[in-house]
Amino acid sequence: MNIDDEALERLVREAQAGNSWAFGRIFDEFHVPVYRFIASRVHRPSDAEDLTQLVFVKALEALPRYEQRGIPFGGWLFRLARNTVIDHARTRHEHADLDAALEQPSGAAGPEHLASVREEMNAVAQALAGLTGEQREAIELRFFAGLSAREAAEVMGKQEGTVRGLQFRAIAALRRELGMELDAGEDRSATLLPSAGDPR
Amino acid sequence: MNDEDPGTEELARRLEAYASARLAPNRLAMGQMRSNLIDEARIRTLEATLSRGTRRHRVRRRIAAVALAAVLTAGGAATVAAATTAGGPLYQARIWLETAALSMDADTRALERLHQIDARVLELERAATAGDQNGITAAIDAYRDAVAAAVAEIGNYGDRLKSLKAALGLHLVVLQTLSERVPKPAMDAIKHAIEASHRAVERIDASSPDPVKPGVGHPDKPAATPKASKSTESSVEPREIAPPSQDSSPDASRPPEASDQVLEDTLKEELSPLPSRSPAH
Repeated sequence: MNIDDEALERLVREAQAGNSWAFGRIFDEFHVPVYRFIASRVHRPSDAEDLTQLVFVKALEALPRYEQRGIPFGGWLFRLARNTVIDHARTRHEHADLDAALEQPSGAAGPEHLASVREEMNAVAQALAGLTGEQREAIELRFFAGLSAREAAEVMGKQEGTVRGLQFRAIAALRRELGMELDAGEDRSATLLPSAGDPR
Repeated sequence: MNDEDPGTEELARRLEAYASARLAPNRLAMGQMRSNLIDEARIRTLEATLSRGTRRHRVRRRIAAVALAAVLTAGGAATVAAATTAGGPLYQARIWLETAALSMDADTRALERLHQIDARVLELERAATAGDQNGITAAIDAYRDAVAAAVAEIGNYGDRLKSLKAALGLHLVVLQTLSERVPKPAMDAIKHAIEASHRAVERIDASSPDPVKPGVGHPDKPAATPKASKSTESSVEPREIAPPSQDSSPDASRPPEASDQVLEDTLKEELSPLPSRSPAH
């Protein structure tokens, strides 16, 4: 996110008052993370685009009822995104999970010099696919969408500590899978948790 | 995430690279989406703004249509045309219908308001030329109402403000010319109309978009309408619109928008009244 919480609150208030410019700024801030989160869970980019738009239309509808106290805006918005993806998966009888990432178009043949990059991407996709559903969601929300642990917890309907635990185990699993384990092994993995001062 | 752990940094880098490569949105599609959403937001805001008056608006249109249909059935078209000239018994009904038929689209409505004001000045000229005292008074009343409504509705949009100011500037020249060749009672009435126009121009100047001014720093947000001033509250009475009738006097009814709060506030603050609303005879 490129703006601080206070600026975001102002934008939300103005958008609630009917200021379309403010809503446009909110879109500017959130469309990439929302798209990333959705794209990581659906099969086709076109579906991700449609669902991203649907999330923002839903946000526009629900914005007058949003109350800033208690729920961070990011958590509120991504909860809408999560529910939208779940509804989509249910309607289309699809599995809304990261297996889809393996089918992204970058798997197609490309220039020779991109081979190593592609290999790395495939390895990451494979490693993500090996996580549990909740671990994957924690990674998606924290890394792809850039949410704070609190916001991610809000989206997932869990305690913040639970999300941090899921993230901890997910990171450990990813590092193992990607051959990034430190010599000290599991003892060092505790440092993978975001520090207490982590603003997000 | 955690800057102290180089392993985490590397993992974060790989995840970010993965997201950038495989989960990146199409910028063109996102641009279009943004545009669509802002349009949607504008439409919703407009609908919400208008929702209070919409039902009343529809009812008034229906009443006006029924009333005019009854008049047309009862009398000939020529009779009706004469009755709807300024000062005629159906003049207010015609203005009422005109106003009821104004577009709900803000830009179109602003343009139609300008046409309405032009039409009132033309009617005033005709009445003055014919020496029709009732017509002059009725047209001036209608002119003042139309200017007030236009100013109240125009918001803080540069192009609209500029158009209205230009139109009022032309009208002031016409009114000034007319005031010099009409009888005394009409002259006074026209002078009040001139004052009202001057005040409207001043209000427009004061409302012109100013990026430095707080609250008006972006193009999509109109400035807040000033609140009513107590000292001028009684200057122009907000008038509820009565359904038109054949024997309605020029002062019996006003356009529906005249009862809207925003117009009331602006009227109260900005437009000075005629000392008396009674037509001069």
